[in-house]
Amino acid sequence: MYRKKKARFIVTGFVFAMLVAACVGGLCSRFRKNTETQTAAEPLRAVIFSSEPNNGVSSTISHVAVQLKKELEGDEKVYLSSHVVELGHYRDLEYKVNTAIDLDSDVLILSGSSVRDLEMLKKLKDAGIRLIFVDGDCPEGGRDAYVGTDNQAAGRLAARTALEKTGGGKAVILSAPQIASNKTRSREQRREGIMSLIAEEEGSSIEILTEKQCSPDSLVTKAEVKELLLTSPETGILFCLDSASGIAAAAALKELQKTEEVYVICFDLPMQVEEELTSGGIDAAVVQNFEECGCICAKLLREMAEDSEAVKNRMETVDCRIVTAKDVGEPDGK
Amino acid sequence: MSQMENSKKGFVSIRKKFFRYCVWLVLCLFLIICISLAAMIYCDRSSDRVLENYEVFSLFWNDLEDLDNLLYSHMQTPGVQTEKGVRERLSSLMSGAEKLKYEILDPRIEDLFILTSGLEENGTLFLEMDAEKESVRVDQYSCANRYRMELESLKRNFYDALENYMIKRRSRMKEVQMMIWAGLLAGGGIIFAYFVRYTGKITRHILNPVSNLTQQFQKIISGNTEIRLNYLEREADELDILNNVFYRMVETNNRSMQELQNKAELERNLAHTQVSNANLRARLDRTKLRLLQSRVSPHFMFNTFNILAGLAIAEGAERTRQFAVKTAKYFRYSLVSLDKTVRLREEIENVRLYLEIQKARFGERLLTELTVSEECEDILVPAMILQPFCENAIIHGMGIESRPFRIRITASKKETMFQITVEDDGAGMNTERLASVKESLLEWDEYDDSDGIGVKNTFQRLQMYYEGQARCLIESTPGEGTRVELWVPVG
Repeated sequence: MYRKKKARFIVTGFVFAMLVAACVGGLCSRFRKNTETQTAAEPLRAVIFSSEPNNGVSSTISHVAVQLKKELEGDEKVYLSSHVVELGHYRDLEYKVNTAIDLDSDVLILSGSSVRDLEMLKKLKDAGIRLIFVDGDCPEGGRDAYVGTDNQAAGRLAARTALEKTGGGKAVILSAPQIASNKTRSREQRREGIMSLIAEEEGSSIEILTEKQCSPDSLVTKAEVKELLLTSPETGILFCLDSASGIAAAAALKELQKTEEVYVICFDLPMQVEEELTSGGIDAAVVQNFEECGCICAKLLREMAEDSEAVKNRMETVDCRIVTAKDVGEPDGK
Repeated sequence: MSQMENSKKGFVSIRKKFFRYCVWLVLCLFLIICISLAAMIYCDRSSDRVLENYEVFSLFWNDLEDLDNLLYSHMQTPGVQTEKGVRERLSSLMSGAEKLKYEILDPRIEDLFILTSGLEENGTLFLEMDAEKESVRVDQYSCANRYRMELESLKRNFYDALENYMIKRRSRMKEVQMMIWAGLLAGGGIIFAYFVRYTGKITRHILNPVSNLTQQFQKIISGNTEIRLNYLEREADELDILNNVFYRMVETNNRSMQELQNKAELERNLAHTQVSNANLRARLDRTKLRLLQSRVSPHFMFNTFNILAGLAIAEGAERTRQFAVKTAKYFRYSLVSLDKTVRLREEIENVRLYLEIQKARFGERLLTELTVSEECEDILVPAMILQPFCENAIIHGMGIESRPFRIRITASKKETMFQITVEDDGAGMNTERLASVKESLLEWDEYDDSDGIGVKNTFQRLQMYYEGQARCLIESTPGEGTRVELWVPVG
């Protein structure tokens, strides 16, 4: 009896001691975690600049930045600085390069379509900053890796979708004005993709009436598209090689009240395209898989953190998907 | 001794128990208070740190704005005041960035720190430039200004990082608070349950023995002495000792009472025995006196019958002589052996004499039959035990009718008893008479002064001789006769 009581006393004491130890241990672990994080080994510092997603330019980089941020949140080997900057700064490659140098970054993630001055990229290389391109490649820029769409495959997907939805017809190819050589290249690849599919499909009922490069002014572009549709009323399909031409085409069709008659398919998914998809101005958009793009990019960065030469001249392509009105409204513009 | 030691080993006084209970309670409360205080301090400090960082962040941008003006002023008109201002701002910016870097774990804040470091480095270089070298100064100024502008251009990102930090911090604080509350609730619950159980236990431990003892006391007061002794093997505290002492007291009391009762019983029995002995002695004395008184008459009768026998011889009356001789024999036997024990065959012989005397009176009408088994002949019996029964049979059973009257006497051994039977085929007795006779046989009248050798007297002598083991059974049917059985023990 006495021993039993003594044992109970010891057990109770032990439980109390454990409780106190758990409380103290819990608090200590939190402090220790902070200290450990601060004294961790030097991580790979990567920087990505993006603009607001609704300011008229392609939001691919923004989506990738968001996905990358999600992927690398709390990663102790890769520190990602995702900076949202004003449109002016976003379009200014020099600003991005200088800031990346001043930030003492290890890696800069850029949209290859925005590269106009290869000299700036050289400056980066001199500063020892490595490059990863997303949303448009520029192999001559001395990049380490490219993560993005196979634009030709995207063009083929657009042509196949139009063929399936309309069953064929007269088509016009529209593209926005040239801003950078890379953009021209990606549009050219998309066009090639469209043309190759039409050529491959024997007896294809899609016939390209004309190809038109629009004005940098959206109002002028709209007028041009209107005129084109009026002069070629048999046009049933509009292939817009970028979002800007798609938005202009949608506006023109609305004014002519021919949205039901003409099937419009464009590339990329900025806010305006989403709106046009919802209102019926655009029927479909060929969109990169941003999530996959961000995941691959994060994977590359982790590999670089382990071995700086690990991703040299790596090219990772991501499949595209078709977004229609029913997909818009879902999270992340799906 | 060993038992006592064992008992003492487990002994914990009630005071000590209460003391332990209070110590545990105080310790637990102290622990809960400590944890609560620690949690409050942690949350307060966290809040303070968040606010402090926010303040540092705001000051940083104010300083950066001031620095812009001061740098420009110093660029335009270098002076001590502007230089001092620039240095102060740079230093403040640097310490702020450093503080933020260590507080906010975000790559963008690290960027803030790097850009601030660049600004500080280039700003200091700018200040150290020779005022005469205008173009170099301008370049350095541009360089420092570029850092400042980059900081400005990324300001919203730094704000985002700060906001993100605040959100995280807040959620972490909530998480910690939740954890602490959960821990406190769980711990408090466990402690509460423990103390409820312990309080119940200690209350039961005190109340149950007290209640039990009270009930036992009430029983004793109400006169109930049948109390179940409920000793405790181990005396754990004062109440257990009290319990055992109480039962020990009750046990001692019961034992004393029992001894007193036994003593009183013994004394009562002794007194009763003494009284009985005195009565017996008195009765014996009276019986002897009666016997002595009765001897006077047989002596006279014996002598008379001897004289009568002599006269009969002288006159040649043979039958008279025989009658007188038999009668004289009978009287001599009754005179000599009345207060003695005799062999059964002597008693039977005496009865035969008595019956022959009676035959002289009743002639052939009286028929007798005496059958005694051989094993019974030598048993010792009080003298004159059969004659009274034969006399009663003749007096009450024979009547006035002229029909033959039969008396049969038998003696035989039946297992551990001898059976002596006197039966007749005379008038018999009705139920009331028979009951009256049986009742008179059972009554032990110590002062009975009736004639010495009657039926009742005979039976009482048998009882005295055989120490109460003799039995007398009487059966009678009116018109058919009476049967008396005497049962006496063998040996």
